[in-house]
Amino acid sequence: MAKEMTLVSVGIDVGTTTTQLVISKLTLVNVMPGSQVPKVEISHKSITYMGDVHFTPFEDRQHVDGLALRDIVAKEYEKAGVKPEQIDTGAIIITGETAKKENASEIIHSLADYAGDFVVATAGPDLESVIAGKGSGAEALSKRLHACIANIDIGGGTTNIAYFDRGKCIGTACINVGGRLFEVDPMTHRLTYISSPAQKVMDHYYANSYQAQSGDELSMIQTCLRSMVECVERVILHEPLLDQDRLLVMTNLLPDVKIDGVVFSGGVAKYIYLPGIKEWWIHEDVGPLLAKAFMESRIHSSFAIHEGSETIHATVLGAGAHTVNVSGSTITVSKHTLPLRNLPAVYPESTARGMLSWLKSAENYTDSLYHTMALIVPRLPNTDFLTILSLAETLSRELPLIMGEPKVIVAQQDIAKVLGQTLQRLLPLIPIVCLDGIELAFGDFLDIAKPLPDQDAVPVIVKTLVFAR
Amino acid sequence: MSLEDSVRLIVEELLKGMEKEKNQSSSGASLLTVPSTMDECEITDLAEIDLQRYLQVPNPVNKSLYEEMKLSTPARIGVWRSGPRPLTDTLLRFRADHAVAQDSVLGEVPEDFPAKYNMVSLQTLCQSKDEYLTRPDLGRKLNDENLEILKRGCPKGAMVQIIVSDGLSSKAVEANIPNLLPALTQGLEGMGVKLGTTIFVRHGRVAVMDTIGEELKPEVAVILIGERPGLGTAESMSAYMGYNPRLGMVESERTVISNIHKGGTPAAEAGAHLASLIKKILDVKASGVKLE
Repeated sequence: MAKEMTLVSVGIDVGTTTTQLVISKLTLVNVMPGSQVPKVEISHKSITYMGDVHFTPFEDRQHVDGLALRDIVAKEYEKAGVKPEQIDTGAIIITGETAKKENASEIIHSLADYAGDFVVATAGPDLESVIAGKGSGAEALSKRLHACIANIDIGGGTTNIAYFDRGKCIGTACINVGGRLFEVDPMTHRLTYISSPAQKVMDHYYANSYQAQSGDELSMIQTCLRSMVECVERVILHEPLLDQDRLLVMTNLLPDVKIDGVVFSGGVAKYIYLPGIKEWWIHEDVGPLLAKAFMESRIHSSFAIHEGSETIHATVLGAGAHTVNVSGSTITVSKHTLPLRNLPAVYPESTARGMLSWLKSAENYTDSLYHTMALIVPRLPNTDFLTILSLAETLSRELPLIMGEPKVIVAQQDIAKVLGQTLQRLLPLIPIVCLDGIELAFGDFLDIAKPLPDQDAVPVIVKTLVFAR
Repeated sequence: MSLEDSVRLIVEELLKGMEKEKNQSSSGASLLTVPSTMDECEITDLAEIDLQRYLQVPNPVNKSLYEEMKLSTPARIGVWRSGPRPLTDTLLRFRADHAVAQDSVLGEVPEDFPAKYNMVSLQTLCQSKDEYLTRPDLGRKLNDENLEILKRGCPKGAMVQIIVSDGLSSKAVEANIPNLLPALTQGLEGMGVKLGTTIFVRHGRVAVMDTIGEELKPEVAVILIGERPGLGTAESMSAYMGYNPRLGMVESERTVISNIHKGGTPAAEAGAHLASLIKKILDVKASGVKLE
C-alpha cells in the first residue's frame, strides 16, 4: 500500500493591501511498513504555481470589490492551468483590515464556492497568525532548533504574532500595526489617507495640529510608527500596556514565556531583511519606514533574528499548504456523508456518575447555521473493548437527541474504527462519521473532505484556534 | 581407644561443630533478613517504571528537550552512567525486561482460557515448549486425535475461521484477545459475515492455519498469534490472514497486520481494522500480495 496520493491545494490570501494565490501539491503516503496498520501522512509539499501579487480591489473604503476579486482568481487559475474542479482542498483567508470591511464575509464565501469544491473560507486574526507562522517557516524552525520562536508577520493593516514552541503553536496576538495604515503621495510626499487606527495614534500625539507642513508629516509619521512598534515590543516583552496601546491591540493570547528567536514575515519583512532602501515612498505607503522602526526596536536588539523561508508569501503559502491535516487510517465513515463543513467541536461534560455527556454542550449549537457538529471524545483511561462499549452505549442514547446528520465523533485516541463499528451496531439507521488522529481544542471548527482514494483516511482542516489564557 | 571409638568421637565432634555453626548462621541470617524484608516493602518494582518518563540524568541542562527525546522513542536512551558502566537500575531493568520476554516465550496460556471464550482447544504435535522451539515443522501439524476434535467441534465451510494461538508469546494472547476478539466478531457480524467456531491452538505456528483450512475449508482463515517478544514489549500480537487456506499455500498469499499491543495498534481498534480488512479479502477473493 505504498502508493502515493496527491492533493491539489489552493491558498488565497485577501489582505489589507495585496491579494495572492498559490497552488501547491501535497503528497500523501502511508508511512507505516506494509505489515502494520496504515498511517497516512503528508510527506511532501511543493509549490506548483505562485501567482502575482495583486492589489486587493476595493469599491470604496468600506467594501471589497467582489467581482474584481473573482476576476483575479479566475485569471490566476487560467495562468496556472487549473480548473476549479481540479482543486481538492485549500483555504481562502481574509486578513488584516480587509476582514473588517462590511461585505467581507459575503465576498469570501462566494469566492470559496467558486474556487473549488472543498476550499474553505476562513478569517480571524488568531488563525491568520498561525497560518503566517507556518508559511514563513517559523514553525519548522522552532521544531528544528527545539526552541520557542516568535513569528511576526507585518502586513498592510495588522501585525500578527504567533509563538511556536518546538513545532507547536502556543499563542497568538494581533496588533493593528501595518505598512498601509498611512498612504502617501509619492510625488508630493503628502499624506493621502490615514486609516482609523493610525488616526487614533496620530490624535494621541498631535491632538491639536491638523495643519502640518510636508516636512513635519514625515516626522509625525515616524513618531506614530515608533509608538506602534513600541506597542508590539510591550506585547512581546510582556510589559504593561500604555493607554495608546489599547487602541491597537486587537487580540493578545501570548503566554508569558521566554522566546529564543524571532522570524519576520509579511510584506514589510522584506525591508527588514534587505535594509538600505532610499526611496521611502516606493509603495505609496509607510511599509519601508515601518520596517526601519522595527529594526531600531528592542525586538531587533534583544532577540536572535532568524530568516524564514518566505516573507510576503507566508500567509498565502500557509493557507495553501499548511492547513490540511490527515485523520487516522482506522476510522468509520458511512457512505455519502462527506464532505462536511464548519462543524463546531463540542466537548462533553462529566456527569455525577463519572460518565460523559454531550447533551448540554450541544445545546449551544442548535442554531440552524450549523449543519451538524463534531462530538469530541477526550482521552479515555484505557482503550479496552468494554470501556469503548460503555462509551458507545452512552453515545447511542445521546446521539438521537442531538440535532444534525451525519453524527460526527472525533476521538482523541486511536479508537475511531472500533467505536464507529460499535455505534453502527447500536444505531444501524443513523449515518456516522467517526474519526481520530485529529487534535482538537475547545472552540475549534473543522471541515472534513472526502476520503482519500485507496485509503480510509480523510483530509481535515481545523480552524479558529483558541488558546487557553 | 579402638579405631571405631576414635572415629565415633571425631564424628560426634564434627556434628556438634556443625550444629553450632548452623545455629550461628541461622541467627545471623535472621539478623540480616529482618531488616531486608522491611526494605523490600519499600523497593518499587523496576519493571513498573515507565522508562520513557524516567529521567536518570541528574540536573539536565535542557530538561524539556531531554523529556521530548525520551518520549520520542521506546529505546533506552539518556540512561546516565556510573563511570564507564550503566547505573545498577538500568542494568537490572534491562535484565528484568529480558526475563519478561523469556517468561512470555516459555510460559503457557492458562488451561481454562480457551473455554472462557468458547474456543475449541487443540494442541499441535509439539508436546513441550522445548520441542515447539526446536521443531517449527511440528508446530504446523495436528495428530489424528486433535483432527477429530476439530471435526467434531467446528462446522465446515464458514466464511471466516478465527484461530488463536500462543506462538512465541503466551502473554500476547492473554493481553490482547479479551479486547481484540469481541471487536473483531462485532465488526465481521456487522458486515454480515458468518463465523465458524473459534479455535485455540497450543504450541502453534502460523501455518497451522493451512492444516485447519484443509480440514474445515473456510473462505478465509485468520490466525491471531503471539509475536516473538522483544525488550520493548512482550505482549505484541500479529494477525495473519489467508484466502482459501490449504496445505501448500505459499507465504506470499498471507496478509499480515503486526504490532498489535498497547504501545502499537491497540487491540480493540486492531480488531475493528481486521474486520474490514477480512471483508476486503472476502470481496476481492484474494489475500497477501494478490490483494495489493
